[in-house]
Amino acid sequence: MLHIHRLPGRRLRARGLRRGHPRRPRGLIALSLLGTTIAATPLVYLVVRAREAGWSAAVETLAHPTTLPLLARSLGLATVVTVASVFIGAAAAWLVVGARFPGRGLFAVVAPLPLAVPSYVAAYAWVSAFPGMEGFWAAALVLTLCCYPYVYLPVAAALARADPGIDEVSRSLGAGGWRTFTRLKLPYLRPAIASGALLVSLYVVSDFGAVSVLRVTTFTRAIFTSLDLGFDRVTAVVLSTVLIAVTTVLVLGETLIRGRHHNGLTPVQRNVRRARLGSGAVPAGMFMITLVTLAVAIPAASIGYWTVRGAARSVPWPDIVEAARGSLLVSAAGAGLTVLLALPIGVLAARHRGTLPTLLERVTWMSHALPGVVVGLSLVFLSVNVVYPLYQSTSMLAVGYAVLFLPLAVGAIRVAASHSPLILEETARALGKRPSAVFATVTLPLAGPGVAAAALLVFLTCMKELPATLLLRPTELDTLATSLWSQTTVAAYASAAPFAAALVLLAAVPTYVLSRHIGALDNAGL
Amino acid sequence: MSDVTLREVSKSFGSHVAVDRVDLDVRSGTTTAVLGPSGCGKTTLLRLIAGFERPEAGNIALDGLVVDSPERWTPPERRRIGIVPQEGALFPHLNVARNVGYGLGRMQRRRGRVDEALSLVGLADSGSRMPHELSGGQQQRVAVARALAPRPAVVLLDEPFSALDAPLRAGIRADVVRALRTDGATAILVTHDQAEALSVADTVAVMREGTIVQVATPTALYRRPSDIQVACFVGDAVVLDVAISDGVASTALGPLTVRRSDGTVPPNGTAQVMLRPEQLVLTADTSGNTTNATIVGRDYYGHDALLRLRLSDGTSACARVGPASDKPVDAQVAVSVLGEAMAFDSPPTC
Repeated sequence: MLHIHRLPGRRLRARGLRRGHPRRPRGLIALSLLGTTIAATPLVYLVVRAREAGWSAAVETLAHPTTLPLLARSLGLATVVTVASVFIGAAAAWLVVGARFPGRGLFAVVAPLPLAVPSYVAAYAWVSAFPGMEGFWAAALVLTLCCYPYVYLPVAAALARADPGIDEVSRSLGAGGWRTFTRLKLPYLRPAIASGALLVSLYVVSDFGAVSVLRVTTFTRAIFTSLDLGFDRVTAVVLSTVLIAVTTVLVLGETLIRGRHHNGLTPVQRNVRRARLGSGAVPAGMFMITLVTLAVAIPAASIGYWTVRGAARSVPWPDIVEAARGSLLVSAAGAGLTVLLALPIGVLAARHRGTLPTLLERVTWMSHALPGVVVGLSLVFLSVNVVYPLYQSTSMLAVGYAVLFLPLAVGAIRVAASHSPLILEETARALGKRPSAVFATVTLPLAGPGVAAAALLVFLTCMKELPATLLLRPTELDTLATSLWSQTTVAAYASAAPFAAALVLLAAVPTYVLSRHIGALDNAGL
Repeated sequence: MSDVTLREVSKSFGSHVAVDRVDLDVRSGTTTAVLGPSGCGKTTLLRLIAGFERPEAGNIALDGLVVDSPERWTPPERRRIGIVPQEGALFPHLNVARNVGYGLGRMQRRRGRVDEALSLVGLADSGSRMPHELSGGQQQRVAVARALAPRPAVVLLDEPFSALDAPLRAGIRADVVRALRTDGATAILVTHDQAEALSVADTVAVMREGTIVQVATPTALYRRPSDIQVACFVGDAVVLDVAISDGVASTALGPLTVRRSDGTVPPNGTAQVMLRPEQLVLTADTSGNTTNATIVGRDYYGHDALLRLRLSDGTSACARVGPASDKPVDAQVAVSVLGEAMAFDSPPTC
């Protein structure tokens, strides 16, 4: 028989582990619920508003002869841009990671840079260079050039950590190059392509800036217009619920395409063997040069041209500095809050399988495709009715960013958390460290870089965001994006250009850092 | 004095009972192997002792102190355990010395315990290297040094050698056992490899479907297994269906003295008896009257060989012979038996 001795030190209660119960991460789930609830706020707003409007009004809006063509145009644009981005992004990634040709190193730096260019800046740069450019195909071109990095980065990351042994085994089994590509490479890249394609399609569906500059009336622009005219909230609300339905379908589709792949972490790290292209090196180089010219050089030249022309008159330096300060401030606040809310959700998704963790993670996507203006309005509604002191405050803007960009951070954090497996933390505890010390000495150092990458990604995205910022910012606060927007609305290219240049240069820094650490964002929803 | 005591410990996951009313005692300074096939609950048992899981019922005491009972629970960091996981699980961001020093206080680190622990595992000069610069075997040695460094009450090893190549395994196993002995550590080693369990441990606990079916020294376990499944699990066995009368079974190998594992004489009637292949001896006599088996196959291991035989009544058997034995396949041989056969009451075969 056992004799029960007094335990050393104070009496210990069972913390976290309850006897006879399977381990459920209750605390983690509770904290995750906080983030998902905030992310679902716009849904609540839409439901409340839709009920006020009533069924008949909703049906009338949906059945209106202009609704279906609007939806068709939005979906058509999303399809064209997504397909083009997948081909361009995946091809560029394969060339930069998997092939040898002159200038490869330079292209590796330049290819992801369009991520730093907001779609409305790109559109404005093109229009100012080629006046009269407008319409569906113009928007498709500009959006593709802005969006392909969303496919390029995850595919490049997946290729960089692919096990070359798999290729060799396939070849040894008698499969040719093409067969190896279609049967092995493509399925292997499928999750990376799927997550990139999801981001591109959601970006296009919710894009407001580029389609406005290029005069294409999409769903999102129609929502904005009906709100801007001030009297037709019912239309906006009903059209927004349609967008939520579209998002749901896209997110489900991504889940299906991604399939039952797990993150195939290969234990053996080997150097990627780059393919010799032979005579293919010339077309490959031409492809990359064309891509970089269209996506980076032309917008940069256009912005540069107008900046120089404007500088001949005068540069509003104090305004630019002030707006840059505003951009950095609100983006930092947005990134901080978003990462904080995303941490428990990402850790939960990485550590625990099951319906609830998956559901919590997926819910964060719901608001991602909503036009920023709808998210903005729902938060205005919330702050006016519930928490008035937050109305038009930086805090509320940060909440808006969190609602919009939570899934980006969750994805990156999920990958970061998988870099600190549970076994290491258990081993550390067995060696006598309290949970808080384990977190500080093991979890944080291992997952920290990935979490920092998540923060950087959200920071970058916040800096580019326009419509929600317009609605939610404190009245006296200007950011580079809002200053730029107020100038372009009057087609004052020369006075808008310095703001655009400042915005792109500021955004290029996190973009560059992120593209150097693509491993950290691997399969992360970017 | 026992360092680890488990009483009636049970743990299930949903409807699956992983550990079922297990009792276990591990004496100070000894190594106990928990041996069982994968999925038998042995890793869960280890995690219960470490405090990573909680049982539904039962008590666990370490070093005389109750660490888990219905009333009390001590978190893993206060149990004074060391753990060596399957893949080593070295902290990838810390060098070897800082990995080993992780569980030590500043004073212990200053007193040179890190170097001491590293030299125990034969890696005295590797302190400044990073885990990814080490081979699998070296990583495992560091993991052992890290577990031993804080002088834990008990070291838990979870299949620590299974990821290593066979030639490497034996050497590292020997080094680790030496390190454990030198340090006077109490250890529990979980493994599915019977050779590992028998060669390393002072005591072997055989686990099957969540329960411990036998606890014995390696010798006793091999020679007197408690049932026929244990017999087959811990080594090659010849199993014969026989009729027993007055403690003697008549078989194709002639009359055999049989005993049960507790040394008693089995009752008359039919039973299964077990012989080890080492007990079957090929006699040189080929005159005809004692040939009772045909060689049907031969597995050569270098240090010895296993001959697969068909006995005259058609049953299969095997015999272990020396490396110089050159009897060809299909040869008729005469086989005699050394020692007594073990009888089991239960009919199931393995």
